Amino acid sequence: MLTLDQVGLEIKGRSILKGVSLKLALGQHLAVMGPNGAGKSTLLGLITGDARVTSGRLTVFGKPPSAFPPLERAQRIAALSQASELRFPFTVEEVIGLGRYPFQAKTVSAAAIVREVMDALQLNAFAQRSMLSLSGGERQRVHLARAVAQIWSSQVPALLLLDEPFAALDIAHQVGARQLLAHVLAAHPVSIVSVVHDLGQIAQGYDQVCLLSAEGDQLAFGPPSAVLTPTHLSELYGITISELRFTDGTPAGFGAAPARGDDGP
Amino acid sequence: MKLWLWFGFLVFVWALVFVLSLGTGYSDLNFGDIGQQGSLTQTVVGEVRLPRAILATLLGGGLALAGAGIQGVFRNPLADPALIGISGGAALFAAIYIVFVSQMGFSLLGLSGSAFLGGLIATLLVLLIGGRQPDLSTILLAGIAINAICLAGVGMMSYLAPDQTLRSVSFWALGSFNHIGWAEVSIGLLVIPAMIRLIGLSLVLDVLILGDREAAHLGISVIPRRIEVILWSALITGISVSLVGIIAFVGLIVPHLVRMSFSAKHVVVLPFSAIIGGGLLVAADLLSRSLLAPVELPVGIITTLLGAPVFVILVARWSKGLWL
Repeated sequence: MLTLDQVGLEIKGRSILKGVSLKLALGQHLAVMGPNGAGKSTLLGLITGDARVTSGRLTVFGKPPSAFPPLERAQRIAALSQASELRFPFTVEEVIGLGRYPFQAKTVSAAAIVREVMDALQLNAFAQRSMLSLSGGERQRVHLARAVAQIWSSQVPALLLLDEPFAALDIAHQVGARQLLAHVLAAHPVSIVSVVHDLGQIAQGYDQVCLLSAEGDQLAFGPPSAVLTPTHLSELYGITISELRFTDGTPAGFGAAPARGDDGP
Repeated sequence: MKLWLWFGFLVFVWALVFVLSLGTGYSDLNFGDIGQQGSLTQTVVGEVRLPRAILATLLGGGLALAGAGIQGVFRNPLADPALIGISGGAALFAAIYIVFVSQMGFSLLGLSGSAFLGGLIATLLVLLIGGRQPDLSTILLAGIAINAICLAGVGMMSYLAPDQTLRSVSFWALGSFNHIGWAEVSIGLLVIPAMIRLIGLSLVLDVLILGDREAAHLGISVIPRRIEVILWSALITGISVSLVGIIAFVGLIVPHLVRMSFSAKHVVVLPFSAIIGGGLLVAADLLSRSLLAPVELPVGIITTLLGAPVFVILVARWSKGLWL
């Protein structure tokens, strides 16, 4: 449903992304990783149609994103950006309800969907609270809920794009959000692309991983077991990275090794 | 359901103020004569007070709605057509029209059209200068600059103008209903379609407030919709300024009051702002006629005295990081 073939983006002669090729099947969760400035958010922007590729080919549901009329695209592609500040006292429930805007003419009950999504993200207690009274992490959960509401109970295959969805969440809410995404993948015809940073959690829940270098080149793409190796990650970030394991031997993600200078003691 | 009751109550309050404003004034009237053709009562009420009250309702409601629309488009709850220079631009173009164009034949419609154009240009300038950043202060600062230029321009026009063609600078800067008759009301009626269209854009404004990118992801063609809201808001502001001068703060405090008391959703904010704004401006006009009677104050002095303190409180809270 999502295919990138040698996708590149140049802005004013400067290469932002280069040679990105990947394929995502329905029901899969793709993690996009890379150092700051690698172009991860830009890649999401290409998929949503905010910007157009300057080389290669990118298709979503068989078409370039720009080929969809805006409303139809919004019915199939939902995105969580790194949210801008909201300065109006909308309630949590109202903001999540805006996720159903593309479906105004459809008969699906928006209120019921909003309730289900709020249940899943434990936002019920906040339903009538003003967005202005929430903490950063709470706001992020609301915007995540809005994006999820947009593709909830979609009749046709849909795509959910998440830019650092867990960045401001504490570990308990991270687990809750991950469970919600797993449920979305299982219960609805949806694929997810997430930009993620957390090497500690990367081992969990992703079907494919795309690594972008600091220059915006694709370093690797494939299933996590093949792509996420200490060698790849060390090359990617330019520091020594080791694989961590729980005491029973199961993978626990990756961590930076303690600094080890050659001239050290 | 509860909201409908509140709305009904607000309509009732507006009607009360409206009737009060018909019955109050400098002339001591005997209301027994009201049915009598050509009586003083009928003339004063029918030719002076009634058009004033109707126009105050239309423009008060329109300005409050335009304020809410501009705040939504700028994603900035402190934007007000007068504060960010739209009214100033409209006043300047109205003055230019009077000084340079009206010698070829004056029309009230031409005056309003010119003011609309001025408001539109001012809005686009403010957007260009201060709108790149979602930050609030840049827009307000750009507005201050545009306002200063426009009001200086109005002042200059008043010296260029042959006697009596241009009303005083204080008319443009502070507003007045002093000269209003049925001709002005008929132009004022033009704000109604703009108000209706803005109310029709309620849901779009809700989504626009999330941010340009977010709105695009929700299927909105952001730039055409933003421009449309600006056009209608500038039309309302332009008509209002050309007829009664700059009336500040109605567009700021009324939508704010509605968000605080009822809801931030535009489907509530816009109609409630219209009815409250209408009532407020009729009341302000009534006050401007009665406070120092028989002297009549510019109505903008009343709205500014009511609105500026609210603005001060909002800015103080804003500097503490609070948005409400």
